[in-house]
Amino acid sequence: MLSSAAAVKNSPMSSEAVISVRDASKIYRAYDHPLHALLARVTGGHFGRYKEFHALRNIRFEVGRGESVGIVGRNGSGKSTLLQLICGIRQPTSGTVTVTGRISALLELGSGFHPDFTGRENVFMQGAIVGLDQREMEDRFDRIAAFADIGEYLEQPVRSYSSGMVMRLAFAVAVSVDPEILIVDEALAVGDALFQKRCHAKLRQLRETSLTLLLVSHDHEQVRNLTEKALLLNHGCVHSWGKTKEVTRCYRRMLFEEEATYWSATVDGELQVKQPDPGSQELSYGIGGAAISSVRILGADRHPRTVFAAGEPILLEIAFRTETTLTHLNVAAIIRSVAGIKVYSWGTFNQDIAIWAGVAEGKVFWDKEFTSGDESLVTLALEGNLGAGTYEVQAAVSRELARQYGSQQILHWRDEFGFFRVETNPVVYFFGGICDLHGKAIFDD
Amino acid sequence: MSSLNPLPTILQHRYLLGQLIQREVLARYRGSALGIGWSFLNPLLLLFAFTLVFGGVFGGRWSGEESGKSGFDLALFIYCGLAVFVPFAEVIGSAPKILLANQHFVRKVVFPIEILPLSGLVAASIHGASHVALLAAAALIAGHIHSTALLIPLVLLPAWILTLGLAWWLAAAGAYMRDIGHGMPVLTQLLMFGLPVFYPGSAAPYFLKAVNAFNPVAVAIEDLRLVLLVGAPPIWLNWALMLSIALACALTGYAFFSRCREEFADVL
Repeated sequence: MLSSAAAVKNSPMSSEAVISVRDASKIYRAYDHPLHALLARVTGGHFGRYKEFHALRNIRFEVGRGESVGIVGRNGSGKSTLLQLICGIRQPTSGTVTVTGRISALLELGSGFHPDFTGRENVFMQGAIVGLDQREMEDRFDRIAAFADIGEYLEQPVRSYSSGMVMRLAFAVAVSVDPEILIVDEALAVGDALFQKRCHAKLRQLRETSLTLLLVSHDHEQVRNLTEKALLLNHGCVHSWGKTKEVTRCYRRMLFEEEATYWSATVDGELQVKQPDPGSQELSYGIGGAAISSVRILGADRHPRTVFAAGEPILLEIAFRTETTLTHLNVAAIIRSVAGIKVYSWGTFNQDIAIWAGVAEGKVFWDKEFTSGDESLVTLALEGNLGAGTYEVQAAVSRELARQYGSQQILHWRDEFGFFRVETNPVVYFFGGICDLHGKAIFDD
Repeated sequence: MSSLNPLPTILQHRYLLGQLIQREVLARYRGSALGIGWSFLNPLLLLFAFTLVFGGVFGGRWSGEESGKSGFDLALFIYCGLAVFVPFAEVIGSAPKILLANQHFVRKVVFPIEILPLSGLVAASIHGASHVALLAAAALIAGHIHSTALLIPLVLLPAWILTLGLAWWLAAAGAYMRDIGHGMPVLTQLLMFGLPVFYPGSAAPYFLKAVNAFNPVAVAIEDLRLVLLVGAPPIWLNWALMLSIALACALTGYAFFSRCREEFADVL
């Protein structure tokens, strides 16, 4: 079933490729005034002043049925434009984009919801847009409501929703209309950790079917988890196209190189900490030199876990890579509650200080030397004396210039390496709050 | 090419169109105590007001001019003009802003935006139909029992198609030039006096008469009076001419809209 005549053309080429982009370019014309755009349109481009901007240049790739493809690239690299071409919302200036099958797209927040209508009404409207009638939507409605899980809000105008709720409903609808091609643009960035987990599970489940998935994200971890192929865009061109693992590695290298040139151009001599850009969604910052590639959250048995009982040990295995010869490193993890409260921040340097002070024993990490290209692992073993709730893990590699706190250079810091949940069993051992202070009641008989 | 013929797209998306129309009709009086009842109360109050003004206030003076007509008849005469003009003005007044108001459909989802002007027109027509229904009932009560009243849908058809064409033209142009949207209230005000709403077409000055002879809306107003109040059929040749003018406007409007369509997401 076709969703829109404009967006869907039958591919004469092969039955396997459901999306085929051939030498597609998109040039935006920035007109001095929309009137000039009209003038140009009416006169066939002879009049009207404009500046040209190449959003995409000669993009060429094909996606087969059932494939999952990630699209990565920095802001302004043309990711969203490419998706809009694939959806048929915009037309390529040259080249062709051919798509076969029903598309369900989740572009940005809010997608096509009308703020004055209730969630329920919007769900049916969305169904109508992709070509499902009243009855077909009624069959799906309970599933959608259950997945979105926003309760009574379903009967409220969408205007009153939080961005997370809008996202939940939009995602629930998008995956429930039986799309043949599902397009998700940055959408999973909002919503809480639990909902994200549910989304991931759903996407993984859909991948088992013949669904074709197109996922756009800044987050290369997400892309790596959910897709097998990836396309890296840079300044509107295809930088690399192939296995996700290799493409995301390419992307990370590209980011680092840009970061390095940026810093060599702006900072004289001494390395400084780059503050995160408040307007950007980037989760990581640092001056480079070392990069954390992953943080695995493990149980005492060294198997990955996401749910712990209160008091259970939690191991954080931090993998990082050094890009130059380095010493005096500190590898640390920061645990925050979902509300953003720093619960605990601790790293190898904290242990080193305790050793130097003579209150602890062991090898000093600070003295360890690393050379360029080293891939190293540090595991931080923590006692999980935490209360029930969801926690975020951040990690950082820094250089400590002296044997005391206060002279630190952050080489790489990244938020949201992972989330885990702590659960307390209310009938066995229970307490309120985020920290277990091991209370003991003392009283006379 | 299919982009020159709007019918396949409209048929393909008829369910969506129905949803849009339903939404638009319901949205208008949403939150008011009477709800949809307003679409019937509004024309009733309007007719009541006209009868009061032309039968009571101006009663003597007007009935002298058009001999043999009561104040109620005069009210019906003017109401014929308004029943056509009000929905027409409503559609062309909102058409330039329709894409701006539905930006989320233009930029965020795969959506057949060419049906938006049509949904606006049908929603306005539903309100217009309640005017016409009330008008017909009032005419019956006033003693105008003519079988030609059955021709009402037919005589209104050219105006309806013309309005659709104008809506496509204006919606596309309004996306490029917001000024059009701001100019519409003045234009519709002028049209109210330019079209034979408050006076018979024959009373217009020569120039205006010549222009209105080729305006399907003006002709529809006159024909509506003819079939409902006089009991005579329209001049069919003239009617056919109006239909062709309207169709030409609709087809060119649709073609223009389709040509600009790919740029809407960029200019909005």
